[in-house]
This record gives sequence, C-alpha cells and structure tokens, in this order.
Amino acid sequence: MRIAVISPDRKQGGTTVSVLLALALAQTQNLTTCLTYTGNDSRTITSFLGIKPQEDRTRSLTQVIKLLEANAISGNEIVDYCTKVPGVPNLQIIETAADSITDEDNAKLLRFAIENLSHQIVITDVVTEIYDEITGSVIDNSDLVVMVISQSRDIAARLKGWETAGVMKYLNQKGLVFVCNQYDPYVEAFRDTTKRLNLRHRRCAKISYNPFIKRTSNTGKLQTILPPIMNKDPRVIELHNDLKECLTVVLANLGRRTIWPQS
Amino acid sequence: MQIGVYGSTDKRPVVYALLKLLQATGDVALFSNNRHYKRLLEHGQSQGHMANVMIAVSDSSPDEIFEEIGYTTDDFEHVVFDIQDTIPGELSLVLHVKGYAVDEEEREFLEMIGGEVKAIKLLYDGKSEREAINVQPHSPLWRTVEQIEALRVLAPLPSKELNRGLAVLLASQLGMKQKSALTILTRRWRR
Repeated sequence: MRIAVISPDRKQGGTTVSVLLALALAQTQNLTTCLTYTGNDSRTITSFLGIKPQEDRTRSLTQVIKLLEANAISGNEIVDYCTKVPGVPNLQIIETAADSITDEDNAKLLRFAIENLSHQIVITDVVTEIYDEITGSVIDNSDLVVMVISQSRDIAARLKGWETAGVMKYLNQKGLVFVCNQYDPYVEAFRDTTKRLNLRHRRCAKISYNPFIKRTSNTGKLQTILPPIMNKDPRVIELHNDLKECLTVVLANLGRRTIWPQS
Repeated sequence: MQIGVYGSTDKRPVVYALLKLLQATGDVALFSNNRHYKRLLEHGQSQGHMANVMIAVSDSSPDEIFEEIGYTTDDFEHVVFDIQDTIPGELSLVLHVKGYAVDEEEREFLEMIGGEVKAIKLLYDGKSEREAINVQPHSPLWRTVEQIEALRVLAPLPSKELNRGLAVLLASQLGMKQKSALTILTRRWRR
C-alpha cells in the first residue's frame, strides 16, 4: 500500500508526520515500511532519523541511475538500495536525492522505486509543489493521500484555493485523510478546527504539539520518541492517543484494521 | 471509560481533576445539569469545548444529550457524567463525592446505582472515612477551581490526597503507571 503525505503549505510538518506514521506502522502494526521523499534538495527526513549519506560507491545514486537507463536493474533489486533506519526493525528508507544527480534523474529513480518497492507500506513525503510532475506521479501511484494541516488560518485559505482549482476533487478521488500537526487544544478544540476547515471529522486525526518531537528530530533521533509514547510516558502521553487515532484513520481508509498494543 | 460522579455537594474539584487526567489520554466529554460548568464555555453557551473537552450542560438524560450534541459514546474515549438524577447505562466507575452527612434521598439513589461506588470525602466536618479518598476542602483548592473557570485552563488541583487517590484509582484502567497518572494530575499548564 502506498501513502503520499502532502501539505497545502510549506512548513506544516509533513516530514515529521511521514516519519511518525512510518515508525508507528512499522513498530505497532508489524508492517514492513519504507520511507521515500520527493525533491532532490531535501534531506530533512534522513537528518530526522540520523541517517548519514552513503559512502559505498557501488550503491551511489549515479550508479543506480546508470543501471536504470541500461535496463540492468530489475524491480525487486531496488530493495537492496534501501537503508535500515537505526533502531527500528521493519523500517527502511530509500534515498533518491543527491547533489550529483539531476532533478529529472531524481524523479525517474523515485518513480521506479515507488513502483517496485515490495514493502507492505511505502510512505512518500511529498515536499515538491502540488503542480509538479513528480507530485502528480506520486499521488497517482498512491492508495491514500494524507494531508498535513495545522490550525493556522492560512490553511483554510489554501484549502479554499485548492478547492477552486479542482485539486481537492482530484485528491478526494484518490482517498484523502487529514492530520492536523502541532495541534494545541488551547488554540481551538479539534472538532471546531475540522468544522472551520469544512472537513469530515471522521477522516481527520491530530498530532499534538510536543517539544520532544522537535528535540528528537533536531538531534537526529526522532525514532527514539516511539517507545516513550507507547509506554505512556507523561511527557508525551497525548501522542499515544494521537498516534492511535492517526493509524486508525489511515488504516481504515486502506481497508485494514488497527491492532493497537495494550500497555 | 464512562464515569458517573454523584453527590449533592459541589463536586467541581473532583470533576476538574478527573478531566485533567482523562484529557491526556483521549477525547473527553463532560455532561452535567450543573449550570456552573457553563462558565467553562465561551459566551455562556450550553455546549462547546474547553480546550479539547466537550462540555454539555443540559437537563436532558444522557441519551438525549448525545442526541442533542450529535455524537455517540464511541466518539469519545472518556465520558464524565455529573448528573444527579439519572443513571447512564454501562458506567465503568461510580464516584460518590460526600460533603456533610449524606441525606436519605442521596443514600437511596446510591443504592439504586448498586455495584461498587468509590467515595471521595470532602472533609468539611473534619471526619475522615476509611476506604474513601479524604480531601481537605481548603481555600487553595477552591481558588484553583475559580482559576480553572476564570482562565479556562485545567490547572492542577492542589490536593495531594485527591491527586494520589485518583491516580491509584484510575491508573490501571487507563493503562498507565500510578506515577505517570500522578505526574499528569500535578503538571502545570506550561504555555
């Protein structure tokens, strides 16, 4: 199953939500998961997880592109180019961005990867603009689109713009759910946020604002936040229910049931 | 969890402590016929939210309230009922908040509820009870209640006995350690 994570505006936390979803799916649902991302100049996702660029020349992206162009790489071989996320069984990431490759090559490689990755879940963090060709291609290949929003008023305006431009209709056809990132109950109750944005509440979930998300992602250890969340550590306790809700909404729209581990 | 809070005394310190603990673990609703809770809502509304807690003040029965607000029990992780004369079905916990001596009517009502009722005694008369959570109704407690209502922020209730009692009572049902429950109950509003 392929999930595209998009956001109507920049800096909404799409990468954070992609990683948290991937971590939760891999760790709590035991699903083999792979993270990908669009764009050739964004390394946020790897920096959040403390993954350093590959030094191995045989695995360099230029090499993979050459193999692709020569039709010398088969679909199932792409898994060999995935990197394990440290400390998280079941979760891998495929790097498709490098300074040494062009944007076209990056898009070609990403498309090939998404089409051929054999993981049960492939999550693509879409950082490119909605009208970019690669964004369209990723969304077309997805079974579900997760839109990351915030409680900001700008989001309502952006969504209205997308509605007028027919983008929402296109996304809804693919299957669209919403995750409100950096949610704060003292800004507005979640039901009021979804009502204001004219969204169906049952298709929405939230990730509460928590300083530990920023703290762990800044130090390249975002994956270390999951065990305390699952253990209901008071510092991150709100995220326990938030993640459960996120997975329930996402998996229900993919036709799967969420089995949430009892603490 | 569905929790019924009964007793004819003012139960707000107990209800606010409950909300503070429960809201950290999921979506919470408070249904009551006590008009005082309207203070937690904007512009004297009868239905609305304080932070993420859904509050409905109504004289209707629990089923009718759900109909009025357009949600079902399943839409909430926890529901707290502070309704004096109705017993909602399938309560997972019943709390009886006592003040001075319990009158006949209250006693009869509690007998009707049946099952295990956990008592929380506000020690207005200075007489503590065995097996109950004994809480001193001192002025900082009521000052905090006023603060919660005036600022619409769930501040921690300054009562060790109440916080510890609720932590012990609810931690296992909420799937957390007692220490964690106590931390949530006593943590300050950090913004």
